[in-house]
Amino acid sequence: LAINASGRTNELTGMSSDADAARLSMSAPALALTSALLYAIGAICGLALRLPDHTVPALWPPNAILLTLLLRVPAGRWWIVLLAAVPAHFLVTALVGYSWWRIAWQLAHHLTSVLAIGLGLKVILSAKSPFGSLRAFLVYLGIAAVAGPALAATISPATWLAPIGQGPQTWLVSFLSYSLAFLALTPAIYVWSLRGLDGMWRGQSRDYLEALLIASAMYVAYMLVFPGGSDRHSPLYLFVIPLLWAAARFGLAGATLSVAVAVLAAGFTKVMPRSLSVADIAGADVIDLQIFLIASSLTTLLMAVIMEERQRSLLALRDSEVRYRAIVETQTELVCRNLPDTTLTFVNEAYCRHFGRTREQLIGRSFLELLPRSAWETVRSRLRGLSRATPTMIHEHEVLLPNGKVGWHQWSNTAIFDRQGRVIEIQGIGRDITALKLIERTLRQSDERFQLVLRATNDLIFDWDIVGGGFWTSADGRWAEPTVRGEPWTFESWGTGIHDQDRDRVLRELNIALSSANHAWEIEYRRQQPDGQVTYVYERGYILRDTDGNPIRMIGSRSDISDRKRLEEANRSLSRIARLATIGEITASIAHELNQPLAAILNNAEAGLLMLPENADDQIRAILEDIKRDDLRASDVIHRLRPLLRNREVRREPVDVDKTVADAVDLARAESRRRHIAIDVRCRSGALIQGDRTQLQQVLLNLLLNGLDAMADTPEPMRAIVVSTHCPDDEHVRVAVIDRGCGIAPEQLQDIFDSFVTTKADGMGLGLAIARSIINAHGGRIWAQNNADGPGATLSFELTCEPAHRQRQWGVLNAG
Amino acid sequence: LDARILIVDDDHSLRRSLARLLRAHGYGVIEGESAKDALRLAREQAPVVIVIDLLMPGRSGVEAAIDLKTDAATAHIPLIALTASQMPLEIDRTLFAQTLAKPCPPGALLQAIELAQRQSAP
Repeated sequence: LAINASGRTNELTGMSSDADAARLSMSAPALALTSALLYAIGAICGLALRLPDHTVPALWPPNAILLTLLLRVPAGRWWIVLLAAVPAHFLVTALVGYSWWRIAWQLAHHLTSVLAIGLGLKVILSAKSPFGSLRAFLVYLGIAAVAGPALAATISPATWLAPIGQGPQTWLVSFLSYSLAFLALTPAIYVWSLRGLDGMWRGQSRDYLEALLIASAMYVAYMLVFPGGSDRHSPLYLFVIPLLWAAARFGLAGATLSVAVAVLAAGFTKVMPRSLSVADIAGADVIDLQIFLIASSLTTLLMAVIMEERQRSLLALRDSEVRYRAIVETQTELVCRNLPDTTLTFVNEAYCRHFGRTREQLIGRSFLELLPRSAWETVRSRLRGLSRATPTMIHEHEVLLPNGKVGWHQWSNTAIFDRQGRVIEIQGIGRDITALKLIERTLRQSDERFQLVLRATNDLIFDWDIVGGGFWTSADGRWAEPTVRGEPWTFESWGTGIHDQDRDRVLRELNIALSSANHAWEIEYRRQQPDGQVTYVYERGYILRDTDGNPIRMIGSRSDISDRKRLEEANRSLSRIARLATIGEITASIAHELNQPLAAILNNAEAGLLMLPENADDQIRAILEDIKRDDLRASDVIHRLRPLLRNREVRREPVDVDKTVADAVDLARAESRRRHIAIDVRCRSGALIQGDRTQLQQVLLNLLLNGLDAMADTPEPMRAIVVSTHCPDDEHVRVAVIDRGCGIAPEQLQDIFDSFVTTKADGMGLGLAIARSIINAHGGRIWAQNNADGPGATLSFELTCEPAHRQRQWGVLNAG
Repeated sequence: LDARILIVDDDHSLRRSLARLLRAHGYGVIEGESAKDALRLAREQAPVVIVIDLLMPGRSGVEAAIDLKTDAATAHIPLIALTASQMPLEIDRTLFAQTLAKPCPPGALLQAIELAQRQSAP
């Protein structure tokens, strides 16, 4: 009986659960012919089965055959079956020699009873098999074994035409003969016609041997009971044994077959065993036989039906268990059960595979062994937290993988409770989330990197959803946008915050960038902060476009370039001053160079005139006079030029020396930062002088730039410039710029302030010369000396300040 | 005329033109081109007035003047300074009888020499 589980159900029941498959599919003539043939055979058998001294047969098979056919064809074709029985009946019964009306009556009562049974079953069971379940079989028993036969016996001509006083007994014999046929034959024909002969050969040799044994046992029992005409009751019980055996081992198919065989055999024997007779009443012997056969058939069939039903539900249960087990085992999710103390009681295939261990290595051990020690306490406390109130929890923890690495799991645990509400077991479903965790970590790192880069560059990153109007920025407060938060960003709202004078230009450029096919956006403009402060920004963006080229998104950055802009501006004004000063210095130098030869020419002309004798040629005197006059004119031009240039634009106004120094240092800050040189300002002189603030700043810048240049080769930690102001006495203020550079060669100390004197490869040698000319114009002096306390040089200048001014300045300072 | 004037200037053509001018006016002229020359010639020739250019390579005119004033043999000789730049304010005025800015008109130099002679005469 080793047949696979799913096939087993049909094998045992011998029928398909599908109602359509239970229907005979043959043409109408074939059906009619079959019906007629089967009816005729059944009728012949029925007539042959009559016991010698009885007119009524012990068993009437044709009705059982008709009912089987009705059960096997759709109701719409019943008329074919029933009509086909008419000629068959006439043909067979004509042999008996009944009168024609009696034959017609018989036929009518047979067809009526069969139709009634068929209709009854049809109404109650619909198309379901009458042997498929206990309930259906009980319905079948009620209709086909009780009600139907009772009806048939009642309207039978035999009952009505029986000799006076024998009517009831004839009714009973008829009733039992119909009932027995429906019990013994219909199930067998129904089941075996569905099952077909194929099924016979599908078992194993062991099964055939067993079937043979049953058949032998039946034969022995039969021989003991019937042909032997036994007097004793005990062989009767033997007869039941093979029937029950067949039912138990071969189900409905075995039961129906053996019952049919036994009943037919008993019927054909025509020798009533004496032991069957309950009472010694004439005519009662056939009733005893019928009752015996009905009782054994009923018992056998009921047992078979009940057993099959149980078997079927057992198989269905096993099927569903197999199905569920397959689901659990083929899951990629890890499934386990464990006791509250973490001892594993069940693991699925995926669990074993994941940890590279066998079931035996896992069951009975704590799953904590699979976790790094650091995760133990957390997991334990989470498991302790399971209760009736919170029977389920989801948690994540690290696990040790068989490759030695540490991975991450996510577990969904459900507690199972006993009646007292104590947790007796925990069922968990887990999955490997290592890859997820890795992605999460990578994302976090990437975001962190992004944030740090943002902090490092101090840029604002923006992401503008042009279609939807959303606008994201990495604003950190410094870039407060004047638009109201939550308001969608549009082309217009981009303009808020742009400086009034730049707005039109920026929006125009943006419009051009968006409507072109370009992806790049780049612009410099000013922004007006809500507090009125103006910053210069440099904005770069990337415009994303859809397939039609429409802009859908722009992402980019905005840098604050205010410092650079201010430096550029300062450098521009500085170079203008420098240019002016350079022209002045060059002019002054040329004047100086021309003075000497002009003086020599004048002296020579004068001397020539003096040396000319009184009577000399007037022509030579005239020549010398012309030379002298032109020389004087040239000298006069230079003479007038020099002071003009020397004192060019020297305004006389009160100048706060300390503040002027501080301002100049601020101008030089950007440059010094670029060169990694610190400038230390120590200005506490409080001095006030009369002079030109711009020109004095120029001097300081030149001195500072000289110091910065001198330290180009100085190691970075030592790079420093100190600018100090102090008053050596009441009348003077001295400004010193001290560097830690390469110093000045001693022979150059004197003429370092001369024009065109330079130690630098690319210098003009004018910076310090300009400084000197400005200081001279202010009536001060300027000088250089190498530091006594280390490397580098100190360039100083001294200006006169009014003691009164100084006092007053101090006063103002103190008061302030 | 006996009066000898010492002219110290590194500019050759200017020095020579000055010498001619002074000779034309009847002075005897001695020429030197450095501070070193100034001290030597002053000792040897005993000029009545010395005209010194303040800007000279090597030792400057001021240093030469200090040398002359500290030497007993030359201390009494009045000095006239010639300077190309704006007069440095800090120059000790006691060193020089006169300070003339270059280029000075010939008349101004002659006037200064006469004045210096008169001041040192008594």
